[in-house]
Amino acid sequence: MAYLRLSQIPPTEEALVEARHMLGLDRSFPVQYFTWLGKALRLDFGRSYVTGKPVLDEILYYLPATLLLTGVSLLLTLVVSVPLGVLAALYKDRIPDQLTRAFAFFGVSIPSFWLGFLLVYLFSVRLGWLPALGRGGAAHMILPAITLSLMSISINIRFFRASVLENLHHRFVLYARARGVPERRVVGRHIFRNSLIPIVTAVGMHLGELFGGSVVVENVFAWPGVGRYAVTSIFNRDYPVLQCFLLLMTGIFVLCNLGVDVLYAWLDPRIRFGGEEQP
Amino acid sequence: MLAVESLELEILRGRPRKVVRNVSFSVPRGRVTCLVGESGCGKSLTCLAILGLLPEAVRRTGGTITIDGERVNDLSPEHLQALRGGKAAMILQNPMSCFDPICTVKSHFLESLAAHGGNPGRLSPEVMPESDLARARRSLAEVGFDSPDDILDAYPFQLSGGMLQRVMVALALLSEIRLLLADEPTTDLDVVSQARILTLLDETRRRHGMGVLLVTHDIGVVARMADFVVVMHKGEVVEQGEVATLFAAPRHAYTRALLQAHLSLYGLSFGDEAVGTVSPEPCLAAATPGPVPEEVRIR
Amino acid sequence: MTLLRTLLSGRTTRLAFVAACAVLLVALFAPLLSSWDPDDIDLSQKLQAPSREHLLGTDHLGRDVLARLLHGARASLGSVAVIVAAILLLSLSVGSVAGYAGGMVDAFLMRLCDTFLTFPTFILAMFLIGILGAGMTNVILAIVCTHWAWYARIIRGLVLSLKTREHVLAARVAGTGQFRLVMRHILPGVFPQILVLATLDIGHMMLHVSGLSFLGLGVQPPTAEWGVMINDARQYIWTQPQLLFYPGLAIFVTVMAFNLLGDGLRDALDPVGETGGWGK
Repeated sequence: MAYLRLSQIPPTEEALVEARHMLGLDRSFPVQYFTWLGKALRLDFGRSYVTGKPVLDEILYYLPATLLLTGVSLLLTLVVSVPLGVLAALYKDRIPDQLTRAFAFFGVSIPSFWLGFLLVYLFSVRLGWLPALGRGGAAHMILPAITLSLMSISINIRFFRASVLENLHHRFVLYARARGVPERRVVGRHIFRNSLIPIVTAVGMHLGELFGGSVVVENVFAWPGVGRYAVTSIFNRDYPVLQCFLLLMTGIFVLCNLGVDVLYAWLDPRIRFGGEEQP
Repeated sequence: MLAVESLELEILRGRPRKVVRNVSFSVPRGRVTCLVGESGCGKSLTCLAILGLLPEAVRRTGGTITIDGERVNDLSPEHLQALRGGKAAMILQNPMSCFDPICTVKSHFLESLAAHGGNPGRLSPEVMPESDLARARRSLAEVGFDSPDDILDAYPFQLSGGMLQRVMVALALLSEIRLLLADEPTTDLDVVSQARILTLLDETRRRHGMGVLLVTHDIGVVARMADFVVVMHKGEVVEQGEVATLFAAPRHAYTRALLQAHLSLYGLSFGDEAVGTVSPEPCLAAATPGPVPEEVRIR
Repeated sequence: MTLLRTLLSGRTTRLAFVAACAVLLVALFAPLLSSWDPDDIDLSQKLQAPSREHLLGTDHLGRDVLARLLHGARASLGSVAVIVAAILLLSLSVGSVAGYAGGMVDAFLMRLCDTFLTFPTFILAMFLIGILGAGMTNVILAIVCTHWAWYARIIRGLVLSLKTREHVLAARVAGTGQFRLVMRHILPGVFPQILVLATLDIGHMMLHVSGLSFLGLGVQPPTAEWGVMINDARQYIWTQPQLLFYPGLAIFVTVMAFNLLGDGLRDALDPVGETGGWGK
């Protein structure tokens, strides 16, 4: 069947009937849906129309590359945006703030696929420093990770800056200073840790953007991940793959947010104790 | 103990304007000086200026502040830090918002202690050294907590406003302070807690012999606590003096209006014989039970 | 008008406003600005360097790059305009009904929103296009589907808070009808804030559209669209990098203009009272 598809020979009538029966397309829609749902719950997402292999296996084959890319990008995002956001807030309206904000504005406006090509052109075509495409060693990671994380970095810088600014003028900061607590601890403990709380949620929500962005970036850099596989499947109308892709990515996204909620409770005792009154 | 001389403060936001002009007063050792005035008259800013805690948008443009012979204006950041909470402590209004919600009371004590002679470098509340812990417990016991350990282990949001206000006093008492600045310490509290805090402040002052600057807009509090009164109006000191003299014969129109407004709540007026001759008895009487609904107090 | 004046008081915002207007004009008058037909294929003229005739050269099918860029503005702005309008219509109705009616209706509509919010937006959009098939209409449909729930939630929150305001209560006591109450007294309060949100989101949606087009899922070749142009040009990165450069720059500048404009609009509508003081 895969051969027929790819060779684009018009299929015969018998072949069509046989294929419909094999794929269960001759049954009514609700039956199809519940059959699919029942199997999906048992992690059986059916077989690819193209390769005939179980979809889950195919996707799990490509998944590590995507997780690696998004994981590295997430790390890069945090490592860059947290300090820059704090810096911008502490130097509000002064040069570090203005530079950082300009950078963030560039970052949210630049299309990732274009940025990817610009980087490839500069570092691979012109300078020849880094490999342009594909997956390999750490060097292959650099350009895709930068491309993917720039948008997140920019969004999170702005978010973190706002969060720090909000805490900068909190009364507990004034009180800490009034008690003679050293400035380093005032910033590091009271301002920073309180600013971190909303950031954690934002980063959790942001993972969705990273997953989405990775689809584009994988296509730019020919990165062998699920995103690239999913786009190919769209062209092949390989629906089982698409379904599995959506469910799997959403599942990971939801799981990550669950983790974020746990982290949130760990950071914020108000959640942990539900603000109950004591003696 | 504290001397403020011709202090001038300016707000920089928008067109710069002076919010505090030529304010001078002093707080002697072992006595309570009340800084009175309506909201926005600059009394809180004056109080913040004393410890160099003005918000970014406000700047001191003139005057000097001297605490125990040290000119606060000339102090380096390190010395200023040592002064805050070391020699002069501050307690603030609305205690609920003054504690970091994600830190236990213990860790607040820990950092105050670390800043003023406790064990530095130990930043985790779990390993608080016994000597520091004992200081914290002693301090909490002094402000009337029966089981200090429960308080230490609590998070701020688990305590009531009145309790947190007392915790603030306890934090202030960690060091041998000479000056206590209290910015509206009773404003957000219920009546019982108000009375309790005032009594506590009075006791601590007696015991430790420190000077107290009490910023308030509540004449009842003034009547009960003050030895000296400084009246501020629109950024200037309009009148100051001993409480008895001032209450008996207020010279400035604003002071008179302030007293009148307070008295009228109790159906009294200035013509009444009691006010003119005797010291602030009616005020005192009114302040002690203090069933004054929040919204009718002078703003 | 005072709003416009406040908006244009900042230098960057003024620049962004001019840039956004320029892109808008280009989109409207694209055919007049270039004598070339953007879809006119001439293989004998392919991959030419910039010249007097073709100011930015030609692409791999001999089409005039400048003409394609100018016409590309139409696809980008047009699709985003439709998307924003559809999202506003959908979310305003769902959000205000949920916020105003409350109870079961509210609970049902919000759970519906939650369902949409569970998915990562771009991936859900991709999935929908995968099912519906590639093409501009489906891209618009997919992006509306994935974004309306955010708006509906925010609008619901705004309506909820407005519902209890004095002037609304007064109108209600005076016996104003439900529909009229929402239209006259609640929506006018919601609208400015949503407008700011939408302006801030225009750039983001443009990136979505061109990203999907770049993947080959959006606007179909040969239609001139910036994402498509980048995709067409990607194999010439070694030889004709300028083909990649121009359309990307066009997206970048347009998105940047709308982002700055949205930021300025937010500041103008809501001058944040940063007094720099310690709150109470």
